[in-house]
Amino acid sequence: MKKRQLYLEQALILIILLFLQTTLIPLFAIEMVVPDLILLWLVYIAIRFGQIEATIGGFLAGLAQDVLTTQLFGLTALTKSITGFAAGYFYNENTTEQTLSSLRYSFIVVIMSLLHNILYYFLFYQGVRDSLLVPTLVSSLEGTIYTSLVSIVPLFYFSRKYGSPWIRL
Amino acid sequence: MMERLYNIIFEFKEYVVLALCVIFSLIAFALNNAPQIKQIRSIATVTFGIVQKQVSFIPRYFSLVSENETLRRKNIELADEAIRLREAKLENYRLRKLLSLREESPYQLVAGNVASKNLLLLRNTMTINIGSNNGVEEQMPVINEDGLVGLIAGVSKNYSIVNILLNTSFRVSGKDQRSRVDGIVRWDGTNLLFENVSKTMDVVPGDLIITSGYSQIFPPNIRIGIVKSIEDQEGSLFRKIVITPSVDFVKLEEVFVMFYKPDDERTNLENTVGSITK
Repeated sequence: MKKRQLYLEQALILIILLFLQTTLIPLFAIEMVVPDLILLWLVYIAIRFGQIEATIGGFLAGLAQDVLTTQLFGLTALTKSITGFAAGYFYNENTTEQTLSSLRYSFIVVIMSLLHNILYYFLFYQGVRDSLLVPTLVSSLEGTIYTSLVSIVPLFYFSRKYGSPWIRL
Repeated sequence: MMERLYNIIFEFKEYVVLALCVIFSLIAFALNNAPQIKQIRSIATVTFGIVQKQVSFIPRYFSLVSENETLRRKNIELADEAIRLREAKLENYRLRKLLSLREESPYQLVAGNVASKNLLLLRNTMTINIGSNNGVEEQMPVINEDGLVGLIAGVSKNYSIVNILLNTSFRVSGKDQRSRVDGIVRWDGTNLLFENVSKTMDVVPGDLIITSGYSQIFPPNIRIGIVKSIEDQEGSLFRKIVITPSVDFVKLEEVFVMFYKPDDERTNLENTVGSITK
């Protein structure tokens, strides 16, 4: 498959995920906490395509999320760009399939989700809360746990797709 | 020169891309309140809002527990509010009745609330929250919209003690409203009695007993109670007539003190004649 076609395919997946994130996912909110499907996709992009694609993908996905929400415009674009960039360090074209179909994928999701949420909530709570540390950590951990748990779903999918057992780091 | 610059950019392309994304993000930050951005966001929000509305029939499974809890709490709050509204409605009803009584009464009335009461003793009293500051004096009658409550027995600045009808030391001159038969109303510790009524007098159950006006303390025509039962007592000229008080002392909350003072001329005359005839 040509690279351009792959990008188009990912753009389509991103639109579907954005749709799900803003419409259906809020229905599964636990105490206002929702899993971040875009972050799961971003980690996948980083592992599959590399750092630049993940950075740009993170920026575009974040910008789209910013447009669709009434939060600070540009905030998600910034945090998703940095997260995509950081996730790109886990890129290794020789081990892509192994990474995606093993618990390593979930592990990367945990790290990236924590990084993303800490950045996001630290900036988000600026000027809103007197104390930043506790609310930032609490909100970040809640979101990270939920997103990490949901990361099991794509993990199963990749495990079946690439035919490898997922209980392997 | 350009080639060297290109090489540097290519070598650090990941960082350059990140820097560009961060710069664009910060520009987006700066454009937060730009009308164009607001317009784009409003269009996107409205569009997705329409879609969200289509899926809003799906229950929020994980929020059902907290939603239930919220609804239960709300239910308790509303039930509590309903009770308070009902209380207010009943109070409104009572006060309206009292108000109409005050408007109808030829005597000046001062309203008060029952601060405390005891109804289980032989000499039952109650405390009301008006006193000498409100012009209350001893020996003033106390009534409510249903009838006679009692008599002021003690007064402080802001409170008064009322000897109520259900007090063994309380006496009031009564009259059968229908047959005009006179008697004395008294509490024997168990029943409210209409006494000194001979067996030949016309009193039947259901008759209304009112104050007679012979007393200098109570004005006439205040309801006291309804004849409940009549017994002919052996070896006695009188009947035992039990009456049910018009006032429900258990539910009593608001009262009026009646500014009714004995007529001095009448008192003096009666005292003078009384001393001559003794």
